[in-house]
Amino acid sequence: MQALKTRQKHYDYRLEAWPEIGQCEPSGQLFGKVGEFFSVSPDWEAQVSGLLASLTHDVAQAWHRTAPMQTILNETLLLKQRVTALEEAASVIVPITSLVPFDYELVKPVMAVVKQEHGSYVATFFDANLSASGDTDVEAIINLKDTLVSSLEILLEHSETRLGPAMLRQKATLLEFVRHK
Amino acid sequence: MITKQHAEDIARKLRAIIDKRASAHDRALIYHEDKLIAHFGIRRGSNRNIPHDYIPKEIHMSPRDTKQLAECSITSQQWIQRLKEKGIILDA
Repeated sequence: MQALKTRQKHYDYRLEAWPEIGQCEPSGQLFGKVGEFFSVSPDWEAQVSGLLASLTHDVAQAWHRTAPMQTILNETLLLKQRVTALEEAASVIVPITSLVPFDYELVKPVMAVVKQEHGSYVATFFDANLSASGDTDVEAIINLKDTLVSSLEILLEHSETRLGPAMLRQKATLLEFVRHK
Repeated sequence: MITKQHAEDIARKLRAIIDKRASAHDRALIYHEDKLIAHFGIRRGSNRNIPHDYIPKEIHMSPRDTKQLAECSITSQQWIQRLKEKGIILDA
């Protein structure tokens, strides 16, 4: 900073006093001559080097103080995202034991898997490969009951020669669980 | 995410017959050579972005292939062929 202060103090743009081309002199003597106009401290190079070293050191120290904190913040954010994803992917098994209000009843409980997906709930009866969705988990279960009944009715309306292999399996599975009252 | 729009596009592409007897979901019935080979539910309502991520299971496809079926990268004939390879459709 001393070098700059000196420069601000003495400042002369007189061109006739500048060295001519080819008249460059060794830096020591040049400083003597330049000092007439700028009064720059002779050891300005050392001073600037010292300032840069000090600045570099301060920046490095600040970095070492803040970098671990930033790393912790980044890791925490990643963990939060993973926990949210896990919570959303978590599924619950809901035993369905009744098909009220339909005219059908369950021979044995249907184990429905309820899962949250993209803000909605999906209830799935994997044995019969049937699913239904709803805005809430309760709604999804109610809609699955409706799906079980309507699917069975559709399948019963087809003769076995008009059902593909997957549909025959589905019908057989549903008949194991559901019967008309 | 498979949406209701995708579901409707797939139903249209596979020439599904829509059964409306259930209260919350229409059922899209898919036939091949006069046999019912698959069916899936389409939620009622005007919002076409409602998730329908269960459809891949019901049409025996992966979620990625289901989306491609809706978006026309996979044709209905290709879907039929895949179901034949899986034994969901038996050659006469």
